[in-house]
Amino acid sequence: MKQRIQKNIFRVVANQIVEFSPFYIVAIISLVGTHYVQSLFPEYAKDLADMVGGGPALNIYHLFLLAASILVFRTASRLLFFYPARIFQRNLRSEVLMEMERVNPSRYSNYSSGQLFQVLYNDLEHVRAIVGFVLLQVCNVIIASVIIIPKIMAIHPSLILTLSPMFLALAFFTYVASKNKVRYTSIQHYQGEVQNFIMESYIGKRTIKNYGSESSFIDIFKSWSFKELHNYYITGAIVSVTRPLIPLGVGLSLLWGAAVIHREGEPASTLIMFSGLSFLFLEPLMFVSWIGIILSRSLGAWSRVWTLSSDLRESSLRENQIISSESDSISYWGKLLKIEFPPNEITAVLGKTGHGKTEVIKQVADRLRLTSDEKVSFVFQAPYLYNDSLMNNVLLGREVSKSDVSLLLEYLELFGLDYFAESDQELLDLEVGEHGTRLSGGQAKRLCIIRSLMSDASTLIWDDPFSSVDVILEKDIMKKLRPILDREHKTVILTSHRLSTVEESDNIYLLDKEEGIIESGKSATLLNNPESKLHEYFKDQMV
Amino acid sequence: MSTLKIKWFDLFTFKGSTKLISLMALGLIFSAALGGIVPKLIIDLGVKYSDTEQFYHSIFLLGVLFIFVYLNHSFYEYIGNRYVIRLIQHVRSKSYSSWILSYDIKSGKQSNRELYPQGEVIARIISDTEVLRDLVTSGTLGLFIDIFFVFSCLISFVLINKVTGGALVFAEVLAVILLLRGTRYMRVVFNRVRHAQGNVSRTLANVMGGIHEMYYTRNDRYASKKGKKVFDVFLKTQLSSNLWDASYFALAESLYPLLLALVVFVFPHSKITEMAIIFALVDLIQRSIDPIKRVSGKVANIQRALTGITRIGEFVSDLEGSVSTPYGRTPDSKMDFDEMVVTIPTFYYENNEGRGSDFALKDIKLTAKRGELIGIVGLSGCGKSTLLNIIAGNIIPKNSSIVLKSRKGDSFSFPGNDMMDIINYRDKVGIVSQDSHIFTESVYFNISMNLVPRNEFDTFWQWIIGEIPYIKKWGLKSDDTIDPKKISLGQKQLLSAIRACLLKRPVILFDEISSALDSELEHALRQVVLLIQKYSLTIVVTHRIETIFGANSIIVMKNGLITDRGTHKELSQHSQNYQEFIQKMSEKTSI
Repeated sequence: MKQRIQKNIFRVVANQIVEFSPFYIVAIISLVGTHYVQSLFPEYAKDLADMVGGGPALNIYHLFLLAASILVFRTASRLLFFYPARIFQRNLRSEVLMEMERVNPSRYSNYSSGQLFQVLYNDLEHVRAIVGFVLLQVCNVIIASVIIIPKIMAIHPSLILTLSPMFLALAFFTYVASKNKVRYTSIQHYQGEVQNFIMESYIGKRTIKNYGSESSFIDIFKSWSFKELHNYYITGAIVSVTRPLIPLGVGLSLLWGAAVIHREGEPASTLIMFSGLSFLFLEPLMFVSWIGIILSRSLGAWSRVWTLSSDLRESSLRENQIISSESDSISYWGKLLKIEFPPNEITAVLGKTGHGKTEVIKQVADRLRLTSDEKVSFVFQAPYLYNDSLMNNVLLGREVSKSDVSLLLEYLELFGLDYFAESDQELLDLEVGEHGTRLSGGQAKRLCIIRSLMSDASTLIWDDPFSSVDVILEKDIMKKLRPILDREHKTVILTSHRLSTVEESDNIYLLDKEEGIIESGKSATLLNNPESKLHEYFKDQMV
Repeated sequence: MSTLKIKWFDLFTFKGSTKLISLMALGLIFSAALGGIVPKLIIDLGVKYSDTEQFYHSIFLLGVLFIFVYLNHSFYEYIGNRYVIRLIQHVRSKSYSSWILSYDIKSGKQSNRELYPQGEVIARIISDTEVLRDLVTSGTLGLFIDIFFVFSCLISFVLINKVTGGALVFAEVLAVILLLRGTRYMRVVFNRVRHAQGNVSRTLANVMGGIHEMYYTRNDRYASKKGKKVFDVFLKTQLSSNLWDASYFALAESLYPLLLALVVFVFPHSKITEMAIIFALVDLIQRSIDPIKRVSGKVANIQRALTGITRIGEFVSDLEGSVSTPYGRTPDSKMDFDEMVVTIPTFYYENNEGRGSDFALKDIKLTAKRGELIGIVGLSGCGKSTLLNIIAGNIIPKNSSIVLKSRKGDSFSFPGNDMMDIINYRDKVGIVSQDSHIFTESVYFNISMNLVPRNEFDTFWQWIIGEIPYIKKWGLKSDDTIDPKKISLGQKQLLSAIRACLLKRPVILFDEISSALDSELEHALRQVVLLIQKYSLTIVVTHRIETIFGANSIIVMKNGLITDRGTHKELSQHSQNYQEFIQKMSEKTSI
């Protein structure tokens, strides 16, 4: 991944400033302009007061000019800080997504898809504040101080001390707010739980409704949501009693300053000027006071983004094991199995549920992906379909050629998936819905088998491909598939529980957790041999 | 529109809300009272400048005032925070409840499931309530108390100097009105941003679900391409929203010199002779700029909150308007069940009407008794799944009836006369299918669905362990949390069947359940079916003859009709369709 993601947040900010330096330079010039123009206001107010005592009248056009320049400077400074932050966010999202797409999934296998979503969506939403809001407000308060403080000192040097109440209030609030950091972490945690809970309720809604247990789910939802919100409530309560300290600080500074001005024998109109100058601090201080809160939230988010991206960068234990092990051996419950998959034939991996068939074929897929140029296409047991059109789900972002389309249509017919729509175009454009809800499990699986057939991979690995397809359709598909597999020189590796699938396969491996490979060989020979383990295994299914 | 308004009110009120709102109102009133004193005290500060003792007295009074302002402000924000947090919990619970209570029954246009897919449900329940929380965190609530304070300051100043005060009130109110009018256009911009953000959320959720699988097949950067498209649109809408936001903020800040100019303009008519009044005037302008500025900034937050509330209102009223289970209802599956009578003269899918497939169920008549095991077989497309879905209450057929009779003579009928009949009927039927879900919760929760007391469940679980050796071997304990990703499809189905066994429904349906099972699991499942059969009617749709070998009766379906009915032995001898089915099942295609 590019340099953008660094552990040290200062480096991230520095990189960002360098990358978008023209934006930030103009933004800072505009900020200086804003504060310079604003610092003229109290002088005009003082002149206004002097008018009462017979001083010269104020030039109204000057005031209009000031208004116009504020408009320009302020707009420019905010826009030029915020927009690059958004670009930063967009780039980060794209980069993390691209990297995830590129690397072996074992690098992020300990994240649930909810957590990945949380990082890419919520966390990256918060992170942008570091290079947007936080940067702007820090510059804002620094530039304001540099411009205003000398003006206050010019009235009388000891007035600088009277600013202490407001800065103390700011410091106190920032400190207290940053103490909330722990709470923000747990808020984020619980928010993830609430989201996960909704996702699960969504998937399991039929089951929930079938047994009428909505009330229990509502209760659990409430309790997760309450845990998140309660933490929010506490942080909010702390903020509500500490944040109004800042206007109080400004008020007390004003009063203290008034006393100093009085003691030093300055004229009363100086009061107006001083109050105007100290008020100018209110805006930058009120904003900068949020930094504690926003920073703690964004830093928490950043550490999660960083963790994910460094996980994505480092090869996982699984990858290393697969790369370093011998090319034909597969680790299986502490043993090493030698399994060969003859090219252009169908090999079935069999075994009881929970004995790790899926893991075996997954290792084959990983090895092919990691150590060879040979292309592979894996169809999962319950494959995922994107909420997109049928064609996009098969071709997955590919430039679509005419021959692709006609081949796809041919396959759709072969797999009995052509009856959804009247015209070919309608069929290709058919939206499959979220998680492919508009298709049944069996239809989704067949679509994914088509996807793998069209992927131009030479090795096709199918995890229990016909589990949701009835036996008759399975036989029908296999009958038509054979010539295609032969024609295209495909090697097929699959797992199954079914006799019917095994009958269609060329070779079998029968696995057992304890003993490893119990039997292997040509399936036809083994099935016809009543002494074989395979025969024994399928005894029940032989009616 | 009118229903939506009622929902609004519903959304904002909950137990204890009146008290909290009254306390907030109290804070606002007190703030106005404090604001009214300010100009007078500031003028005093200027007037008494020459008298040291009185000058310090004025400083003291102002100090006390500032402290009271602080206390009042804190109190108000504390209560506001409390109100908003409870409001969110209320709104979230309400939207979650109405969502989970509503049925995803397809009627006419779109079902709720299509209207509100997963990403959308999360967006409504989480993101749209988050904007309410922003009312607190962004200080929007605090704005109201500041407005009360400043407005009262202004009014009190008008009493001191009518001309300047009046001009100032006029100018500031005008400014606020103009700024607020401008926010109409901002609303359009913000809605666009929210929409684009919603697309980012949906797209990310969509591609995250499949990204690890796509590593293992050819994909031409599908996820990145999809992502980039929505990220770019989001960025573009952000640019226009940032521009609006920034210029709004600046516009309010430019008011300061404009108001000074106004004072200069009306000065000849104002009869101000004391400099102290100018002091109070400038102080007032300074105080009012910040709230005015925030009105324009925070209006965005308020609008966002309103959009959020509107969206939630829409969500809730859509769902509550659809067929739903009444809130707080516990299912009542108890009945001394005797027999079920199904009569479906004809049934066809409305959507398929006039389209390619003219599939229909015809002349379905079926009677089955408690304790029986009924198998339904037939080739794909024969209508067995449709029949099962009707019996499960997932499809509501016209002109048909299913009657469950009890031994005492009373009965339940489906679809019956109204929704309650449907709900009552559904309580009596359990279904175990490949869709049956296992949650990331404890074994106890997954099997009992929290409907059975803990001690009763533990007894049941001990019994199951005794009856089904597979479970014993598996070593699953009541408190173990199940990770649905780590167990196989077959194991999920076994647990779902045990769930059906515990929750003793009079009728239990199995839909194609055995196709993903290995022999060992299938044996375990058959044991569960036997347990279920003791008190229920069990109906099994299957492709595997061995599952229903011992069925009391097997129903053979073809083209939407029941063609034959009998035991395996009878059908093997007499039914041509059954023989055809068996033959197709064992036919070899290659070698």
